[in-house]
Amino acid sequence: MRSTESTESTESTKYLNVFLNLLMLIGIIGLFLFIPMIYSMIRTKELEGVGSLLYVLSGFISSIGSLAIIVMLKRVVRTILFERNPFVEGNIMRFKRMAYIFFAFPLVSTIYQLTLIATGRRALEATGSLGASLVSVFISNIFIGCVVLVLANVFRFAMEIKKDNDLTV
Amino acid sequence: MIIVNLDVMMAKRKISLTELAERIDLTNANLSILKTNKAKAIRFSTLEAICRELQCQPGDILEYRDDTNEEDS
Repeated sequence: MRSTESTESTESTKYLNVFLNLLMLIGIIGLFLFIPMIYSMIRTKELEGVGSLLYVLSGFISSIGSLAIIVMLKRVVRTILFERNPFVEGNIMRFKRMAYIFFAFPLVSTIYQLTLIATGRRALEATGSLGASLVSVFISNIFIGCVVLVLANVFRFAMEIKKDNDLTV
Repeated sequence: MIIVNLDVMMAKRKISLTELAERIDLTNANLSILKTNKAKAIRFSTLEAICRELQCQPGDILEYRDDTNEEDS
């Protein structure tokens, strides 16, 4: 018989799954809207030069990274809801990949911002506020990345305990 | 290595795997894992229930066998 906590956990995971589906839908719609927006910006000559190209690229890479994280989270949720065993090697790899994506976000952002300064599209006087924003992006993303990486190690430990426990009668 | 002689005791007491599993409130699959020496560990509560139902001592079910010579040869 399943415990009340387990039933509650499954219920909350179902809501989480619905929320992730919504996020993925918004992400895909956003990505599809991004392409015509870029096209119109090229036509109106708003996008020109290396800075503009990097603006488009950094936006695109960030969107793809966010979508990849949502897809991986959905797969983790699937192992909870349908396979009823989240402590598998696949989930550990997914958490590690998510962490690497979180670590990559501030790098993409930094390269983009530095290119803006180098190409003269951002005034040097504004670098103070830029520095503050970069630090906040760095700290938040690297912090989340570390949390996810720790979670991956916790899952590996749990998987080993489960393996032992499965053969305990 | 530790050998589980559950099948021997079950044969002596003329009890089937399903019947014993029911009496000690364990699944057939888990009791089968124990019987076929695939288990990595056994809970004291399970051992106690088996001993109670089979009217035996833990030593009648578990046996230590030195397998270092077997590995060398």
